[in-house]
Amino acid sequence: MLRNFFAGVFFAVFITQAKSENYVIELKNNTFNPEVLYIPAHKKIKIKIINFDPEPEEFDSFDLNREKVLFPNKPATIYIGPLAPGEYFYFGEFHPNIAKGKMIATDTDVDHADKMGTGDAD
Amino acid sequence: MLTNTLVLFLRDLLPMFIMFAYLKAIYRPHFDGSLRIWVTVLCGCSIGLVVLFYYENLSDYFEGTGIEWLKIVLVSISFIGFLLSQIFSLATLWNYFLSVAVVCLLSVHFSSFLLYFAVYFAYDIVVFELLIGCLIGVGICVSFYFLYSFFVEELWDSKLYPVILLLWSLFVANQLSLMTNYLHQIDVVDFGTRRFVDLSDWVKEGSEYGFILKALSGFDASPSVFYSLVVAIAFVTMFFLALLNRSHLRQHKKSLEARPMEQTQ
Repeated sequence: MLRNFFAGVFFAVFITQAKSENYVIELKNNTFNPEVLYIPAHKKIKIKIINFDPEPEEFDSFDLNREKVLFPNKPATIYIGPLAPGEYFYFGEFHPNIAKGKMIATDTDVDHADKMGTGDAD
Repeated sequence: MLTNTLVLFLRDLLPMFIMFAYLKAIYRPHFDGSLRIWVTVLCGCSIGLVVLFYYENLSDYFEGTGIEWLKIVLVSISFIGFLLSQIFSLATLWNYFLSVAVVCLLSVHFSSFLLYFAVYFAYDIVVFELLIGCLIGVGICVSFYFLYSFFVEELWDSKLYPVILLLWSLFVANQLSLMTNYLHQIDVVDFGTRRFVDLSDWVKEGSEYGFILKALSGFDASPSVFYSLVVAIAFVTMFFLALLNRSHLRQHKKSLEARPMEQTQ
């Protein structure tokens, strides 16, 4: 009984794969597209990053505490959030001057973010 | 290009130079120009090279999270190694634990560092700039190592052991904290994702000070609750064990230093 309880708590707290919204960022010619991604605040987000360049790149963000190596023509997935409303900058570690962008976490609903033409929620 | 190369040196290699400065001061008879240190460095770099060689294949494992898992495992082994090296009752094994810990941490940082060069050395145009960047980067790391080593050894010789052990424990705890961001990134841990504090208005992580602070203590301008919790627990555990072990270490060091004198007599 007690073991089941702790197992339940463990799964609820640590291993729960909460439903998250999906977004896509593409890397072409060392430039992230979209450069500005609107995402809902206070929600966990799944972001698929696809590198269309012939060489690897590293997605890096001090604001989001994320770093992920992006291999050519391979999608890489990272989870971020839940984030407080605000701007979160990211960049390509190997081309920081041109490969850069930001995510704007907003309290407005997801539909609004999609209308901005930047979200790819599914 | 030049700036970027230097940033990579500060991010990936400087923490390793700082680690060796601590090791040199705290474990002086074992980690001061001995063969052990060179073997350890060689092993760490070799594993880093192997990881680099299979980086793409490794990243495909576990639904694209292979590299994150590898780094989580290596960083965890490293932390356990550092902890076990503080338990003096494992007298004959402690230096092996320390070596394993160093090898694991070195391979994590070195593989990340080499990836950048593997990308850029393919382009002949930038090779010269890269070499200049490497020369300056090595210069900065080596200079910092000697200065910091001098500082740490002076404090150690001044019998300010708790200060050094506190800094060393903070360094080790923050190396373990690398895993927290990876666990969040691959959605294995869903706990404590919110920011605990935001210091980015004071020190930006991407600034020169930010890089130095990160290398010294794993400074994170906007740590998550989970990150802060892991760092706090790891730091307290490491510091407590290090303090307990201090007197044993000193006795051991004295006996080692006395041994050559006995032999000459």
